[in-house]
Amino acid sequence: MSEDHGHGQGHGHEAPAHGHGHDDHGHGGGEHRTHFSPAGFTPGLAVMLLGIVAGGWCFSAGRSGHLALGPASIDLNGLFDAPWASLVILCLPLVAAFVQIFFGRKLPRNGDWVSTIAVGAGLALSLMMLGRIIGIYDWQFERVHEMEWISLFSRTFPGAQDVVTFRVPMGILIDNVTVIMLVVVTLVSTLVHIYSIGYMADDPRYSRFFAYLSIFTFSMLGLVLCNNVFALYMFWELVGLSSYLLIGFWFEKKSAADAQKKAFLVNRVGDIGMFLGILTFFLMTGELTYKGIFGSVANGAFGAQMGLLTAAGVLLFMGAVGKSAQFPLHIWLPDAMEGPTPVSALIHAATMVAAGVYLVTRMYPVFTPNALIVIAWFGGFTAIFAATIALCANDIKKVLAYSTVSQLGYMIMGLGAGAYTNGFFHLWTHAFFKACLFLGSGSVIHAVVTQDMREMGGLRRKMPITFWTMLLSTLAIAGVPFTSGFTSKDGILGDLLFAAHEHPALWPVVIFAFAGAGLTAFYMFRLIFMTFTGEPRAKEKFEHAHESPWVMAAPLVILGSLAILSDKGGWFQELVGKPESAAAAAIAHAEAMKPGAKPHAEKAPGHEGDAGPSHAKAPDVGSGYVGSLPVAHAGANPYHPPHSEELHHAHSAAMVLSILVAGLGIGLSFFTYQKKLIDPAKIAAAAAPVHRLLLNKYWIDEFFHETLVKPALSISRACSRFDLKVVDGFVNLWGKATEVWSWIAGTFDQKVVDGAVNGTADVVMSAGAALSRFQTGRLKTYLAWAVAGLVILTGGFHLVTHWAQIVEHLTRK
Amino acid sequence: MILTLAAAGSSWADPAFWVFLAFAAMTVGSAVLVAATRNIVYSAYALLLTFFGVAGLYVFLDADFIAAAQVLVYIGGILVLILFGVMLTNRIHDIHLSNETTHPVTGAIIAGAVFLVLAYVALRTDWELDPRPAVPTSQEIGKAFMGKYLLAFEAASVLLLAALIGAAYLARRGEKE
Amino acid sequence: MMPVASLEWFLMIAAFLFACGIYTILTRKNAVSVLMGVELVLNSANINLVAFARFVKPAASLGPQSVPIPMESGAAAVIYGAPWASGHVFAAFVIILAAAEAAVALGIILGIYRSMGGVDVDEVSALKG
Repeated sequence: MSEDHGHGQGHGHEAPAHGHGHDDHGHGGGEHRTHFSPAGFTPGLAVMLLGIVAGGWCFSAGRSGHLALGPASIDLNGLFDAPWASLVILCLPLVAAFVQIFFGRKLPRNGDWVSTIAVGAGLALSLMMLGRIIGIYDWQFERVHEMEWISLFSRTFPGAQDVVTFRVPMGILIDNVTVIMLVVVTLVSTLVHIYSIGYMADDPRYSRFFAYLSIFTFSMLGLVLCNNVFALYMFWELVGLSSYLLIGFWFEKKSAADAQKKAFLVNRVGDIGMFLGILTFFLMTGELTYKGIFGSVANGAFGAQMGLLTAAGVLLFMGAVGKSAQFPLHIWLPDAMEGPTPVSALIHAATMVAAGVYLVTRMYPVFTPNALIVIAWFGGFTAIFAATIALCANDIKKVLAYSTVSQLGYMIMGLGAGAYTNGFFHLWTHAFFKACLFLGSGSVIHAVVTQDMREMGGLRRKMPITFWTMLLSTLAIAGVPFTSGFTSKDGILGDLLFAAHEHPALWPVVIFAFAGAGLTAFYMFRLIFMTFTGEPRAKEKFEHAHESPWVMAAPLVILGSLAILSDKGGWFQELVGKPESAAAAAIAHAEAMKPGAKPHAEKAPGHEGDAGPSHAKAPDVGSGYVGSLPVAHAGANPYHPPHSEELHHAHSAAMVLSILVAGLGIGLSFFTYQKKLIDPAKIAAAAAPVHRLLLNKYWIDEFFHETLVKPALSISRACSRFDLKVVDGFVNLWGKATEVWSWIAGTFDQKVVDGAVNGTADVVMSAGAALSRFQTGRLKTYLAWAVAGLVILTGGFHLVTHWAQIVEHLTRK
Repeated sequence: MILTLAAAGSSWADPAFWVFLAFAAMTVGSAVLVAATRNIVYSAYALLLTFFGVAGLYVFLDADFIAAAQVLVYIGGILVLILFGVMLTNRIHDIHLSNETTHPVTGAIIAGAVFLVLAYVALRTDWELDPRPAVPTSQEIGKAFMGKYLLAFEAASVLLLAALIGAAYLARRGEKE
Repeated sequence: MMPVASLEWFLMIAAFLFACGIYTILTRKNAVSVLMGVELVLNSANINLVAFARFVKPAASLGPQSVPIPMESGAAAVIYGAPWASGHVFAAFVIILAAAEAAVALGIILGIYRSMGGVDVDEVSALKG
């Protein structure tokens, strides 16, 4: 474990020469690598077990509410009642990043342990928090620590009764969603840090990499912890920045530098929409905190302008479209695979891309039913769209990238269709199995030094740990029963099916979703079969393939186990509950404002749904299909939802259907790529246009290039030409005119003006000569004159103004 | 003029008034000495007496804080500085320390005119008097310093620091040359 | 109770000190003596400040605060000090500035002494135009 760093530093400068130029990652041949060996095995296993035990200890301490340290016992309720624990989790990675940037190269082992320990400590605290919320077991659990950050000016907002001071709050919001996100971020981040110790060992900018990872972790934690949209936007951009830094970590490669810029710019497009959405909410409500916005919206801040509320929600969702790589802004994510594989696992699979989903989750109450349908459509279309592209991709990371886009689509679609709990649950499960898949693919790439699946095959024997962990994760993503992915995806599909009964507009989305599920199973098993089974297709690469060192394998094992285990226990379903819809209340307000309005509960459009779409026990039933619920139900006790036969039916149907579809996909994949009963080449030839379409990713990039980039370029060229010809010509003409005019002016100047000036100067000179006698240069003379002047002014003035009185005074005597 | 003053004075019978007169005489007399002596060291010691007399006048004005500050800062600080200046810039071992005067007549005329104008203003103005009991001043001054005049107070402290550094710099620079 | 001497007494003494200071500044050649004259002038100004603070009724516009604060004047005086304290504060500032001025002036005088071999202010006429 530690030996391979010694030479990592020594050979560091070779790496860019042989590694960065042509391929994805920075390592050379396998000769440099430490091979799987008993020497590394024992300490690696020990560290892994120690970590698991420590994590479990933290979790159970949190669950019991007491941290026993020998005789002393610390009450862990303080984790939430004061902001310190959250601030520590937040700031540790930041501190680590600074240490890494400034002192990283001077520290032993280039300081990788600084970041790893910082994030690991955050993980320990997060696990305690997770244990604590499970111990508390309240779906409405919430703690806010807030202070006023900026207080600027006052103005009236439509939603406020009177003058409101523009104040920017800064604070921490801790509820169950926050804590779950904290665990996701810190857990994946810790494992990726550990993995990177092995993966990045030879990189010359080793410590810089850890600094960037830590900055990213800080930004993501801030995004999760903050309690207002202002801070959310700040951290959102910080996350984008760290993503930019990490995608272009090997910026010597042009493709990486391009991908970096592309990711940043494409994200900007979404962020502008998000910013406009935030501004809309701010202008209408005058609030920036989540709670404030929700409360104000529910109190009718938007008045009768329900269209505006929908638009604001959709604008806000644009941010999620960018960050979570939804169609049509998905184009940056596959390119972002130019970054190191641990980055892909951390940022572009588990956490950052989930930020969009988190945003939708956070702002859920403000989305109107119409906005939610738009969201569901975006998600559903992205889910199938990306899945089809993944069918034909041959780059192992690109397959995973498109599968990520597709899975994010599932989450977004689920949220849009009212599957609040299950959509967020899918984020939780997906984070683990997708991180595992990416880290596994990194392990494979590391072994065979290629990303092309056509050059792999048969790696199962050489890399058993990687194979088994990836297989578990693939089962999960394909939705095979008894895996976490099955539970969450089935939850989404069931809720979707139920919602489609109420909203026929969602039926196409249902078809997308089920077809996407089948395609997912197909292409994921295609990946497994092409990589791990059969005969090696590139003998030479196969020869020096090897299992990764334990520092890389241990995270794989943990994540692979989580792919199976992360759905265990109903706690998630119980603790994540759909919040009351502020939009529904706003709609009720708008209805009430209409002249001759009837009681809103009966007549409001889109209020047909009574029962919630979730599991019978799930608390999110409380508000039914979001936005469409009658307000009367808003306060219903979530633990006693109206029993719904249809919901149950929907879930049963979804389960059967999804198992069928997944089985179909896996079977097809098995017969095509394992048994070779079906020749994919023939099918490709038979459907050549479709194949070309998929291979070229629907020409989306080319489409944007033609429609946006090229026009922009030609406009700039036209501007440049205009500049050269017209503007410059005009300027030159002016220059000529000025020249002529200045000749005239010059002549006039010499004759007339100079004459006057000289005359003036003569006068001034003679006056100056006279006055210069006062200028002795002696301060005392100046002072004498000043004092004399003072006396003359005061005394003389008095004398003049009071002359009559003085004379009278004197004569009277 | 003296008559006016005598009329304005409170009570010639009060012994405190005679003490006041003694301080006033000390102040005025030593000020004349400062202006008139030909020996600069005498001048400096006369200035000491002037400062001391002024401190006494402050006591008669019930300004305890300012009186103390006068003694501490003027006599303890500024006067010592001036004495240093005298010692450093004059060759003490010379018999007569140069303290020549120039244009004494012009100076006397201007100074006299100034005095006349000031005295005229002081005596002719109808001051709006405010009879109030004498109270200890430190607390009120402290409140004013820390409240209304806080900014000026801080600026003054910065100025003192700058003066300290500047004086040290000015005094040191010559040594290098 | 008013002090034993009236306001005019103090003003006259101050005026006399002022005149003495002006005379010293104008007639002395020695820079240190000039500095002494300046100190006399400052002292006379200080006597005036403190005397006015003791005798003269504070003007309404020179209340405890120059910026209006939502507070009745008695309460403001408790926080910001009595109105007459301004005079004393100014006197204290004058003393502070005199100390700074003396230090800097002596520094300059020492510099002049080194570079010109003497401290005759009449020979220092670099300001001559």
